[in-house]
Amino acid sequence: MRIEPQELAVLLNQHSAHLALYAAQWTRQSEDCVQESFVELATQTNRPTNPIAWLYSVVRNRAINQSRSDQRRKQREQQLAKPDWEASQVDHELQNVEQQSELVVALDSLSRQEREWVILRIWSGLTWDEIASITSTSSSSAQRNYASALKKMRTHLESKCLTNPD
Amino acid sequence: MSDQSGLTPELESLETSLRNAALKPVSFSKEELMYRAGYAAALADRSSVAATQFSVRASEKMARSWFWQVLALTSASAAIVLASLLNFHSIGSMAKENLANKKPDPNSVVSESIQSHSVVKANRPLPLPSVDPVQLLERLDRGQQLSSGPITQGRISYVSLESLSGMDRSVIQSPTAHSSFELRNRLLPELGL
Repeated sequence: MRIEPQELAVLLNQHSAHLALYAAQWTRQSEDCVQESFVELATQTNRPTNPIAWLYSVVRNRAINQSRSDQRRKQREQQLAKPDWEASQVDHELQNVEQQSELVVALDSLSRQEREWVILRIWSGLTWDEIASITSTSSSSAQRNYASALKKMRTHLESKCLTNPD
Repeated sequence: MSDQSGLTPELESLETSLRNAALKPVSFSKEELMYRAGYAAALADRSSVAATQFSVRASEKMARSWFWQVLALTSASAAIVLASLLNFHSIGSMAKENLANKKPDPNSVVSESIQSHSVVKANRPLPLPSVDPVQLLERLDRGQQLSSGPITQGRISYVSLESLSGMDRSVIQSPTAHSSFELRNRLLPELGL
């Protein structure tokens, strides 16, 4: 049985921005990954047991594949010495988040893996087991790394507040 | 969330602040995305229906092919059984007829087969007319010179044959002239027999 259009619309309204932020860990074309994942969810003959976890997993795979494709294209264009190629570093996908809050921008201080754990834990609503399944780690390891990432963010925000009194 | 992460209060407050933070809204049109999703779902439905119809047609076709295969196999088996029955029946009737008829004489069968065989008839030695040896010697001695023992050796010397038949010695000595049938045909009219 396919997913109902109403449920799909609810998922789109609630999780599209989170999924785009999640996909931005790997690629600049995060919104394309999100759209394709929603279309793929609509074409599924059998509704996934947990559509949110399914969406995060599919978005992750698509973003990683897109990142690899971007890297291959970058290498080809560097070999051709194309001068007008727009330099995009995968580690700076969050550079276009001017409209995000300061807290979200602080995610840029984390590593990619730490960002992934924070986003999955805070905005997806998934359990630790589901997060561990998506990231291919153990649940306890994901919890430890998540706490470590939050401490790192807090330290970064405190240092920023100290250096920038405005 | 169903499980706790065991964070300190400071980290929990940071977690709550992050959860309530506003994210940048996506720039794509949700209406357009819903339309695309519905269109893709319809295409998937149509392809699945087509696949189902194809599988049904394939199963029907397979059933039809199986029907004809089973029918052909059954017909072939029945034909083989009937042919074997007919063969056994004919053999049994022939055996009964042979038992019922009189046993044929082997000599008559052999003679009939020899007479009916043209090759055997052609190669069978022709019966020579009975010639009296004394009469033959008298005819030959009449002005003719015979070699020693022509009768006992069963043949006539070349000189006698040459003189009697008027044939050349080379003809007489040729392999074709040694044929008893040809010699007979040439000699007997000369001898008046």
